[in-house]
Amino acid sequence: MSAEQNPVKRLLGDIDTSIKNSEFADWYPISKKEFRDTVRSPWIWVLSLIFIVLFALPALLGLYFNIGQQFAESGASLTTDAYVRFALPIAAPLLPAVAIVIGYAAIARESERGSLKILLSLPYTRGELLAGKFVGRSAITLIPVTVGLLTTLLVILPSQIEIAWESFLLFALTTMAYGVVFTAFAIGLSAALKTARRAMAASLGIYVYLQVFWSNLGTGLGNLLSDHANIGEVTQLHVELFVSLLSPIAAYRTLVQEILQGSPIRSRLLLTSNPQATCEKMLGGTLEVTQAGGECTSAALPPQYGTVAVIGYLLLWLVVPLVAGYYVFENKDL
Amino acid sequence: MAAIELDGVTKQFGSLTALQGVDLTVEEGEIFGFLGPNGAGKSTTINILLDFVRATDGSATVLGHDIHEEPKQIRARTGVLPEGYDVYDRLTGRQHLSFVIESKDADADADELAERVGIADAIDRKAGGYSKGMQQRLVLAMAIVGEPDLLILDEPTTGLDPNGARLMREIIREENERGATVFFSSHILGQVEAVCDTVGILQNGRLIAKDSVAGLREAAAGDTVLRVTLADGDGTDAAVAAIEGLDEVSTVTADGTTLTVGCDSDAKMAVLNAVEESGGEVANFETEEASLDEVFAAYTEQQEQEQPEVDA
Repeated sequence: MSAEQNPVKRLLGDIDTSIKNSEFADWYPISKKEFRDTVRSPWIWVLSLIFIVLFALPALLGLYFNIGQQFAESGASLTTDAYVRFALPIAAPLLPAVAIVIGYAAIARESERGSLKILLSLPYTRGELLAGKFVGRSAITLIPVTVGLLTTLLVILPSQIEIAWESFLLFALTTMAYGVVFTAFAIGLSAALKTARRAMAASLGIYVYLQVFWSNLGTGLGNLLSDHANIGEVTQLHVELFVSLLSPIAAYRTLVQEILQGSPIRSRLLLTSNPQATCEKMLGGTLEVTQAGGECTSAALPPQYGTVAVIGYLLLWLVVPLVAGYYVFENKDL
Repeated sequence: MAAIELDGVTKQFGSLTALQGVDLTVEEGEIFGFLGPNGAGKSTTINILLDFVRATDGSATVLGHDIHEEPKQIRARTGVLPEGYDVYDRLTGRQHLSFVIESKDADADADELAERVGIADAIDRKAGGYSKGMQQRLVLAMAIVGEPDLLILDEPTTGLDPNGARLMREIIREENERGATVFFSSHILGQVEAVCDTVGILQNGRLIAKDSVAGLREAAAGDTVLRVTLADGDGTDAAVAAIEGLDEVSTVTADGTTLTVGCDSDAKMAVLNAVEESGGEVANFETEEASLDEVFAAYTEQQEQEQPEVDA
């Protein structure tokens, strides 16, 4: 089959050529090589398979065992939002692990084995190398996410579950961004550290810390400041919420909650240890308990807790590791 | 314009000094052999030229570009066979070559390149399954993609069988005839002698000599080692005395019936004759080619003796 007879192939060829000819894409061949090389690693497939199964599993369960029935009974119609509710606690801890495994070896392994010398003998700056690695490996991370989401859709389509397209697509987009953030995080460490083993230990260590301990950090820090620095209760609540949001895992969770709940305030309150005090003292609202959960009415969310800010905090975990990794990588002897 | 110019390049790794003020000029169109024992600093020099490692002091240009300011421009016109590299196990030979062709934006054909280095029948196999020699051929093919103006080859014959080594020399000559400058490092004198116009010798991080191959050979000739075993030990002293009397001999040591003689390579017969004349009977003799270290020693000694005549 020639490329001309196959429109998909021709389109891909055209995209390939136009990226190649673009002035700002000197890194493009590296990302392509990176993708081709990494996609052939069996480990990544095993992990992706686990991720895909776990990701699509709630949909399967919902369809065949009607787990979502409780939502239907509570008056809400059964939509993909129920699926997202099940998928969120799976994706939030699991996707970073997958992304870290995909990213941690990106530069450190090549440096250890010496193939980095082959790469850097070609006309690339170290920054372009890092950019190419980031794009190529991010594309790898998007494979399990995309396949997982498509599998879910395929399972849900023939069922009675209604697809809430807007929230489903927003969830898909946020999850993809989340995967890319952790890929960048691992690549940044891979660029900065000497061996792949260290890059893996550091990125998994930080991930475990974020996952297990960070949620207590905000509360702990608030209490500490309150006990020793005499900060007021409102400040303490601010510290707690702000510190919590700095974790990419919390940022992702609250963004997805926001998509589901349609309310940034309600999603942020889920992160705090004392929603009532946060709502009433910090945000100046009134907490009303409804059937769907706590509702903080007539409150104003300060911009540092707004949607844009939280997206910014999430992206910090992409930008800071990449920039710091680049800085160390640029200045070191290979 | 010189293809490579190093000016007082010094590199320290912590307290270890790998290079001490190396000045070196490689002219365009030359085949330059960069000779030195393992650990002399050859790879460090190459790593500095390619901006893998940053010099502590001094400066250098490659093809007229500053190594630190414009590494990308340098690499666009340079083909490199690095030392201690690894290929991508999961990619085929063709994918390796396509990647380089695309990276250099070159108008080259992967099949032709594979043909040239003799791996055409393996081009669609994964490089992880290649033998060390085939990987070396693949990386050589990658180095010559896009007719580079400069080839930097670090210990290129490592891991190659005699056929591979011959092919490597052929390609070096062909690329040079096409117009490329070739800079290659080796710790084996024979390889450098076979193809190079000019040779630089690096020892303990210093460039101790830069000379034509003929000049080097002349220096090396001074240090053949001749081992003579006498039939019995009685005549040892007389034989030593007789050998010491020869002009061409630099050192004689005796150990039982074995005499070790350092002499000019064409003085073998004179040594053997002297032993016979002293009344000794030669039971056996063997010559040892001068090792690279001995060549260095001989060369530095000769340089010191001829110091006034050598222009710096």
